[in-house]
Amino acid sequence: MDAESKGLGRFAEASIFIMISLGDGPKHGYAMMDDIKRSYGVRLGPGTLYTAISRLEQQGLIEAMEAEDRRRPYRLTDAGLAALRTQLSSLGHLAASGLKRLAPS
Amino acid sequence: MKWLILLYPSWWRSRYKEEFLALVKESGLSVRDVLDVVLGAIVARFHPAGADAGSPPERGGRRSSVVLLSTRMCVALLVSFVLIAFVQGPVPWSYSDGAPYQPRDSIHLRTVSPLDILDYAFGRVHEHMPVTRAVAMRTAMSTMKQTGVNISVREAILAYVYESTNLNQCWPAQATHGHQAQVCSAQRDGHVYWVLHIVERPTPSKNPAQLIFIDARTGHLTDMRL
Repeated sequence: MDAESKGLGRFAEASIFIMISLGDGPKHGYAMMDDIKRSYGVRLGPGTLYTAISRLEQQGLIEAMEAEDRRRPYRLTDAGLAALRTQLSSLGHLAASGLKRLAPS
Repeated sequence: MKWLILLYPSWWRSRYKEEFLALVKESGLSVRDVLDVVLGAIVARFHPAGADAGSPPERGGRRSSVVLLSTRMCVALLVSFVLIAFVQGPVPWSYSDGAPYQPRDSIHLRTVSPLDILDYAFGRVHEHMPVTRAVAMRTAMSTMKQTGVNISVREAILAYVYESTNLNQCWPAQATHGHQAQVCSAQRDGHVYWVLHIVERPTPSKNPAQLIFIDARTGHLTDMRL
């Protein structure tokens, strides 16, 4: 799946970070923000985070769970898991291809 | 910051408001976050996916939504920029990578344009000082010029930097028109002053004053002494 073609637009990067963060289990907004910051050094602003969450949810790639207090956890759907695998595989190919070109001949 | 939520369309608020406020409560909200939220609200209003979320359309239909959007967005952007420019207070004087300050010729404060405010707001130009101080600095430079001494923008910025870190210090200023001068920062009666100490003037000189006191907060001349 190509992120752009799924309508993620300029929030594609944030969307992928969110899906990766949900890869090891459900998380609410702050937990995602914290996980992404700690793991990748990227801080998603609250506006960016919820724009991406909203789009992913509308596209059926993530789904909301029962709210805990005021916080609502999200988890990957089956479609989201498949999309994430495809996306990461594509990025892996891209990285391998790029590194291959950089390797001394 | 609950007012920020009002920028979002009703379908978005009814769906995400509570958890969004919980997130903001936990994570805090920086100035950059405020802009991020404003931009997120703009995107949410323009993004057609909102209609697919199963929420009722906004009252008055699309036309009035656009008018409402324009008004709210303009007000929101204006308020955000004013907040950023005048409420945030002094910016720590260091670069984003934590490197110590070194004067850079690229620093420009000749005009405080809306673009400067945008740059400042988005944090792209970390070396920008608060807009209020930039205006004061321009006034101070103009004041110095009236006393017969021109100092460069770079020197003026250096004055600000020293003032922020080393009160009651002096440093040489490469004044133009043959002047040799020192700029000192000093505190008196709770006010911070820049004191321009004219070490040597070109002859003849219209102004014999050797010490020129400028209020650092306003840039206005407060005293001249021989």
